[in-house]
Amino acid sequence: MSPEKKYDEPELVTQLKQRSEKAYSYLYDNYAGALYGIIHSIIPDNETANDVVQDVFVNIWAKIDSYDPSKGRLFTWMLNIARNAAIDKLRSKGYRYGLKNQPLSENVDINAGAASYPVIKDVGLRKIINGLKEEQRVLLDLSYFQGFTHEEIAKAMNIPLGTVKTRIRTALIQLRTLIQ
Amino acid sequence: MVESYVLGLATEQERAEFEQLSMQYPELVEARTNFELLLEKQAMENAEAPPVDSKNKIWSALQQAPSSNTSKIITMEPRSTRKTSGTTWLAAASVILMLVATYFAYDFSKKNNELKSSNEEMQEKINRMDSIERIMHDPNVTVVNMKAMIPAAPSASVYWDTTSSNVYLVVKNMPKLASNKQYQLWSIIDSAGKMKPSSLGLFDGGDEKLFFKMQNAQDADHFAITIEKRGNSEGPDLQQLQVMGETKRKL
Repeated sequence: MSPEKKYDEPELVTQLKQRSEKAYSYLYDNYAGALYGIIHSIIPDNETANDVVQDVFVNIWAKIDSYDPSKGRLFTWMLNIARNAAIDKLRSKGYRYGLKNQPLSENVDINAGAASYPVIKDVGLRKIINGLKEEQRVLLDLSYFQGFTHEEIAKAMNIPLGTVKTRIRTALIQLRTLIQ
Repeated sequence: MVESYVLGLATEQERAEFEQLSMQYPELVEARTNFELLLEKQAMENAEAPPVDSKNKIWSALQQAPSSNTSKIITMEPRSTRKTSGTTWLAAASVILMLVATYFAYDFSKKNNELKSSNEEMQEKINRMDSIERIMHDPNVTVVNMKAMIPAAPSASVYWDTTSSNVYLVVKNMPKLASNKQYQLWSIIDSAGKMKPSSLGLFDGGDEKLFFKMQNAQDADHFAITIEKRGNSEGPDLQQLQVMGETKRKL
């Protein structure tokens, strides 16, 4: 075992496709933290986020054969698996049910409507998105962090689909400059 | 477009479009990779350590999950003492039973996966049909049915969204061409009798009814389809005109 061995991406992918446990362990050690951060920005609850990160790695193992390097980097692929898994969890009955049944803790502010939901930390992509204009922030939050389609957003907010699309497009261009 | 593709916000159709364009334009791939690296760096900087036991839990979950291409090698120890034949048979029978059960479990999970993937394929088709349906019923969309200019009577209709300039094309009876040829859709502007064609993209024919998202057109008096050499970048070959139709554009 050489724990300090570094893989370049094509090599790592080849090894993963051959189900190399060493490569997989490397993958976990290097990327679990980043994926956990993303999942946590969608699901504030620690325990649920842990479950999701575990599901995600089991999924990566199971689906690695379907990863196609010509369509993007490995991390992007994993990031999208993580984001989808987190959103699925967020929308699942079990998770919402769990939230509703959480006992009210004493530090809950009764005046705040959404107070029974755990607070989402203002880090990472969220923090960057919070730097956008309000209308853009709301749209990116709904589409990226909550996984609603453009059509659903248009219907829910009662604005034309074209406007939703244009606003998201401008928001993404802004986002790009903010990340840099 | 790059951003929404990478972030997973693009629709199925947009994804397919982007992937096709990426094959033609290396600079698009470069832009994509740059954004991916930015995102990756950003995610790395905001990494949070997952709980320590997480990795072990994943390992044990993986050990339980049947994986199709890792077959376990079972070594058999030779038996030093012969037991009575009754228990030997019982042991043998139980091993066979276990093997059979394992095979069925494996076969079942394989079938299950096959079903899942065919289900996903169906879903994709339905989504595609849905979006076609939506386009056809969009009040902003003008339908231009093109007339056949050759005896084989191919049919083609352009669905033109005049507000977003999106152009969709539905063709039928446009057979596959020789591998060095492709069909090409043109938008033509008629300015005082002078026809100015612009390419809206090339496509391959087929036996069934086909649906394509073509390049946008802001302005057009006619749409037409010709046969050109694959990847044609020159003007239309009017000898090879297949279908043509007039837009009912208000001036």
